[in-house]
Amino acid sequence: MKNSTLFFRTLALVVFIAGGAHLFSYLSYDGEMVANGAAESQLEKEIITDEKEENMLVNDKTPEKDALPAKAVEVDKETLTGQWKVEYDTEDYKGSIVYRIKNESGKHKAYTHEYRDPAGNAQKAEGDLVLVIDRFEGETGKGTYTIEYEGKSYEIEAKLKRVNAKTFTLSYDYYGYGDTETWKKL
Amino acid sequence: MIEFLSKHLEWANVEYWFYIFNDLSLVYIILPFFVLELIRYAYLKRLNKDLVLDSLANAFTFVAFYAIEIILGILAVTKVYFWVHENLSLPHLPLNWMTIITCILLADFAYYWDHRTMHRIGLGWATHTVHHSSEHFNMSVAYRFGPLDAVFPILFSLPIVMLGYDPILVLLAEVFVQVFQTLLHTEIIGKLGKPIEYIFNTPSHHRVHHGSNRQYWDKNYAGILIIWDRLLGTFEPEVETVRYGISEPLNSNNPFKVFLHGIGRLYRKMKGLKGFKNKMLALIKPPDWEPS
Ligand SMILES: [Zn+2]
Ligand SMILES: [Zn+2]
Repeated sequence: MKNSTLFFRTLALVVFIAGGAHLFSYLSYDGEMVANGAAESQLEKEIITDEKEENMLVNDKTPEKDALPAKAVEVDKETLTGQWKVEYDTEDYKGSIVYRIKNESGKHKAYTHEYRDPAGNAQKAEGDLVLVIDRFEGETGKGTYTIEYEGKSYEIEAKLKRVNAKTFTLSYDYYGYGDTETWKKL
Repeated sequence: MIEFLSKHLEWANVEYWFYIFNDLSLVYIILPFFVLELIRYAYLKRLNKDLVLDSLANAFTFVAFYAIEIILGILAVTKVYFWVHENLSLPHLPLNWMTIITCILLADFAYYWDHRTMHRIGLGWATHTVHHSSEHFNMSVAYRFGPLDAVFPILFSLPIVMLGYDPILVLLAEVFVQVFQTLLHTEIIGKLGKPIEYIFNTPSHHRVHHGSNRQYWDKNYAGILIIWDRLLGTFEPEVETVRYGISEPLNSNNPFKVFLHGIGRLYRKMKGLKGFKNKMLALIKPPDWEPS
């Protein structure tokens, strides 16, 4: 068999298989979005969240933090990288978003990774940068959170609070639009 | 169907399924099958010292190969995989059955090309000849690895990571292909049904791959699917009785000799060649290449 034939057959097979997987993930994502009647931006929903949930999340989680020794927190800073899941249970959006935190030359940044509906169906996200962690020493930290609202994106300051090794809360307040999210490590 | 293929899967479950096939199969298929083969050898009066020493050498090469793989993994490979995943990859695919199935298909296709390369370039054959140097054919031969056998697959699996697959999934899929391939090293199973022999790699097809008969050289490189060989012109069916081994027999069960004989032969060949260019060409030209 000629080398060029080998090359083109190989290329065609790889494009067919991997392309199929990407097309499938793209189409099943699209279909689901339409089926659920959800809007394009999931982040938009985070903003319109009721205060009840905010209070619930904060009260729910804070008592655990005192139990954590300071040293363990230091070590755990390194474990920030990885996948974190945030549950949203509002009138507008029920489900969760998985974010991936990467360490980029010493700066921890979170990107959208996956959307999951309550039934467990997941769709990959575009990988948008949503959070840059400026510092997270000890139990508290601060970062820049990107939210999208009515087509515009806003960079706002967010407060981070370590609950335990596998949980932290992120809260922000932007002209009355506020929320506290609980980030849980996967 | 689409719903089934796109349903999100939990990592823990996926790792568990692979664990059952990739790891536990040693206990519930491979070892029992090897015992069965030993009984068969005894029945055929072929259970002799050479066979036992050959099997022990196979076990030794596996331990050496595994140690190299662990060291490579710790040193760099996993880091390189993750770096490529984060920086040089198409959008990451979600974890569902479609992703798992296509990842195994790609790992199988990568295995085909990895295997074909190891047969067709001097440096590849220096390591892969170890696997082919046994004159027996049983499941212990599947564990007969050469010193660079852990290195070559990296070159062929990194492109899969670049296509958007999770590095861990790629590694699990690679081991899956390898374990399937292990199960083919047996003389007990004859030919399977036509459709199976047409699509899948089978013991019959892999016996051909291990043949030193001239028409069987460099044929049937497949891991799981034989269709790669059919599509890329390297398929050969089992007709003549297979004589196992390599054209230049090793005649030794010394585990160190078994493990390193390919590298030794390549080194001696390069030493005998005139000129730096020819020495380098010996690494990438086919194993039987000689300067004109
Ligand atoms: Zn081979
Ligand atoms: Zn083999």
